[in-house]
Amino acid sequence: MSAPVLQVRDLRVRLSSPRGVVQAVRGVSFDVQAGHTHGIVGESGSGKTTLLRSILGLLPGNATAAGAISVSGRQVPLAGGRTKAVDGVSIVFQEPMTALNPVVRVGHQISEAPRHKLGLGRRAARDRALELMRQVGIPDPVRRFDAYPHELSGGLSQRVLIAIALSAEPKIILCDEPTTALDVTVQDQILKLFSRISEETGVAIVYVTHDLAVVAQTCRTVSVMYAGQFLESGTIDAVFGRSRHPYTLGLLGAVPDVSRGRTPLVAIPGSPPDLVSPGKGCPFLPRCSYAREECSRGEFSLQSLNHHQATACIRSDALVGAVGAAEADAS
Amino acid sequence: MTARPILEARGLAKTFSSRRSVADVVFRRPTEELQALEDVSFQVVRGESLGIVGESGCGKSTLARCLVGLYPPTSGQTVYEGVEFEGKRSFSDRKKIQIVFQDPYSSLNARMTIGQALREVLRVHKVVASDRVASRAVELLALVGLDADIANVYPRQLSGGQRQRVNIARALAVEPEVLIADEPVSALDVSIQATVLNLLASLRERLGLTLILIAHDLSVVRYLCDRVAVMYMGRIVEIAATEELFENPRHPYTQALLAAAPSLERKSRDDARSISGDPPSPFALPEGCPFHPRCPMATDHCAMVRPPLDEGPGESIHRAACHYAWAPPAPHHIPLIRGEENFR
Repeated sequence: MSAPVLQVRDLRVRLSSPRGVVQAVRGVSFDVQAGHTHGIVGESGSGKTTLLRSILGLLPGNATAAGAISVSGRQVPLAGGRTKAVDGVSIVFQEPMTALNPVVRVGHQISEAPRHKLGLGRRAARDRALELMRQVGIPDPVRRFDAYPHELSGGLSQRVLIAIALSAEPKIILCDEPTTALDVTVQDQILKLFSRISEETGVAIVYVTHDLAVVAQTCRTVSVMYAGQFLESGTIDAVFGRSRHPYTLGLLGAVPDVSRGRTPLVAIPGSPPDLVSPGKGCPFLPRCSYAREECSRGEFSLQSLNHHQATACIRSDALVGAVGAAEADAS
Repeated sequence: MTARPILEARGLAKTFSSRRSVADVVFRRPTEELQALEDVSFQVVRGESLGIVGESGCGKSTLARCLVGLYPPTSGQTVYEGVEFEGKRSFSDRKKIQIVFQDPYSSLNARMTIGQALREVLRVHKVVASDRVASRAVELLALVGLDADIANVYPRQLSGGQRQRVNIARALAVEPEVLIADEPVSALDVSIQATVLNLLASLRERLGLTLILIAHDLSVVRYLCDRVAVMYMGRIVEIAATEELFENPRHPYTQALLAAAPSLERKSRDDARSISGDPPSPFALPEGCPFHPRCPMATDHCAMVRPPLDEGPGESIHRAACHYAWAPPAPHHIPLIRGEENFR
């Protein structure tokens, strides 16, 4: 296998806040290959957004980071307060309406990077923008080139954002809940668009969301993030089908699924730890029904189980028989 | 249905006029009208739970507000136990149907403690004698699984899930027969959603509540509801028992919605049934069936004649508003050919 486009090694990010230092990311490592889509699932406050900002090289001024991130072999600067994203990385945000500049025609927003970053002339940049609009499935691009963002529907604005993300010829596209604000039928179209783009252009996609089902349908591999750490990583089939971490199992049992009838939902008791003083041992310990005494000691990081799966749970052997509600129902 | 319905919508319609600026008046531009609801009729039996699903802008929240009496409908009636609500609802009428809103952060008064908020409702509606108000508030908190000391806390000190429980407790304070929940979990984190959904299910059982659940998320409705109504552009396009609707959808829009919903269990996607395009502007609804510009099986007939919400043959509980829900297109109906406008 060729060298991964994105390599994250033991990333730790601390954010100073009036309440104290928040340990937003606590030792995250992962790789993404060209043309692959990696999902990161986590609830609000799990550190997903800080992780994405680190990869972009856009940590806020109150951040201090350790570890290493490289994009196509080049190190990403981890200093806080930088204002320029690193080359080769683009991002698609959750709210298409607020991410676009409301007073600039969408065509100009798409041709900005080709003109200023790739150095194309005005005419060539326009042609490039029209080509990108066609590529992301915007009907009638010539007319839409001169439209303002408020004239577009949510689905079309999200396509414009994706065109902008593609315009600088990135190696990696980061997606921060890109379909959460969209309707299901439009979400479906956008998810298919992402699959097509990664196939056609070989760009690597890091897809962050709280929606397990969306990850299951778009990604090849997934990491489950909780309290600034990855608790489980692996292929979709392994992590969602044969999960070896109680948190993943908990999530799988807590969400209803369209293809499932009334299997009872089991909520995960308690709430995530405060990342100002996260405490020792496994971060999921206070909410875990498999916890033993040894879970309260030491640091927990992903340990490979096999080629397809890694878990941070030291009691993962006890989970071999345990299946997520999803699989129990399917069998 | 043999049991007498507790709540009935009879041809509810609601039209909003767009706000007119001075320039609009000066230049005599016509007022734009948005038909948020059109001819919505259904019945709910006591103890039943009805789910209402649809995409944003389909009129589901307007429907909820019309049923509770927050909006006066433009035409049609809300009928409660066979009696129409007329004009402004009386105090006692308002107690019968209560609503829980989507956003647990904005629907509680930030300057009132949880106890104050609950006691206010109990006092204003004279639910219990004044010396029982405080203890009743604590009982209500217990009903939704919250500790008594939550009563002394302000909303900002609670998590989203706890606030949504408080909202449910407040709605239940006046002892309603019907509870309408408008997207009760869509603002909550995944691991919290289950607690609120399970609470609604158990309250229904314990109190014999009738539940109307409004959601964009099909999985939530499938989990909680006995029957489901699917809305598109202000109309009900299909209504059936939950399992029947999910296993045997008749309307192409319902089929598309089900095909588009991501699932952990279904790996291969049903591309044949997915649809392209966005919902039309509610200010300019297409002629004929409002779904025909996006419909994969539309014919020239669909572009001209609006299909009624018809019952299926022999089964009176499944209704769908599609000309071809139960019969294939007649040979003289020509499939619509669509141009480039339909993207991949």
